[in-house]
Amino acid sequence: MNSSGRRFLSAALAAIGLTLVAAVGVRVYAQDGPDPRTGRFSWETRVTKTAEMLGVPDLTGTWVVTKREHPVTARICDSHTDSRKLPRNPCRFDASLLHLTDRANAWLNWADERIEGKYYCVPESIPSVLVRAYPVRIEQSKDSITFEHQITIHNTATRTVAMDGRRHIFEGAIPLYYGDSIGKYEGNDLVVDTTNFTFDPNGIDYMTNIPSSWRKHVVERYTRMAPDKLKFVLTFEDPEMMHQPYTETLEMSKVNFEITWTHCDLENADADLINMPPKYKDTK
Amino acid sequence: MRKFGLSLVFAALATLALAPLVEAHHSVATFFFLDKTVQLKGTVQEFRLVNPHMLLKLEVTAADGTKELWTLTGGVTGDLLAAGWTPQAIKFGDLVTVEGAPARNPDAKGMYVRKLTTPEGKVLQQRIRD
Repeated sequence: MNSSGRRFLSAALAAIGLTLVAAVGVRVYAQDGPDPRTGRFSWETRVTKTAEMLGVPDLTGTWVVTKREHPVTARICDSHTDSRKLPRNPCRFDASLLHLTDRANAWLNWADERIEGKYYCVPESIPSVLVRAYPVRIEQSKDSITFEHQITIHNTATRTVAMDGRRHIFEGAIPLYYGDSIGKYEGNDLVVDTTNFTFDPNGIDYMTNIPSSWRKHVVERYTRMAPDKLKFVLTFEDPEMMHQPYTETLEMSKVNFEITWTHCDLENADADLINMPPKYKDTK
Repeated sequence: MRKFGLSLVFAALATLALAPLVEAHHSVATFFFLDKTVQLKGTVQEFRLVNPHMLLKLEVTAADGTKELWTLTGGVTGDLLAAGWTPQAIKFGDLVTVEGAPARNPDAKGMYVRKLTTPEGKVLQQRIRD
């Protein structure tokens, strides 16, 4: 066999191998209990066993927010408008409960949709994304936990929480859009603490231009209440934008849903801007 | 007559239930007059089923005979695919009728589309999350 023949044979074998691995991988991933043919536990069950082995609460699974302590309605959203008094709904938070500073309200009046990251496919901010009924896949491992948010309107966004006992990265380090997250277990709870965010034009409420500063601090506390229910207590503060911290208790339910990658089309992300009367005269 | 009226109510409710509630990545009410409806008839120049919004370009013949290009927007890929808004259903060159909320910017030929009727008479709908 000449060299091109060998290359063809190698490529064909590699393709067959990859197909088999993918097929087996998908089958194992989709299965909950031990594989009836091999007697081995599926990938999902092994992750669950990891939580058991570590003696920590098992939070692995796909969850969605099903109840909020402070739900929002169109009337609530419309009650907090910018200087043009245009309706602004949907929204993620009741702005009257956020105790916004004059600085935050001034920003709201000045800000223009055009400068928002969403028109460049930037995913929904934290804490905004945490209260929306998007499915989120939580995966626990020894040193980290991942939260994979399927933001159906944009790209799927993944957050990684360090669980290895490290401290927050030092002050003055390069800030991050989703911040620096560290986590720990406290009894039956998982507590995720996030700081070191970038300034974000709609970092508190992604839909209504309520901004967040470098001083935003978000704490998530998850408690498994039943096999298919989580209690989620969200607390966040930002002394530049809010007079006091905001706290809300939410319920999350386990769903049988496989997270897939959704894609935001950069070319089309700002197409709607033409439909809104320009706020500033120099806008083209 | 009363039965006919009730049938109409049930038909309207059924239509509403079938139309998917679509997501948006911004306040739709800030961009469009949700309390108004305009209707257009035009030929499909482009249909892109993408996030964060679908894009539909229609060539519309105005009353004075001139051609206008309207750019219509709508929901996200997953919601719309499930409701039948597929590239097979909406093709380049199709003469379609659309209804929706007009743009707040008077200089824009834009609309948030709620209903589209294909040349074959198939009706596709979506409800705006407002």
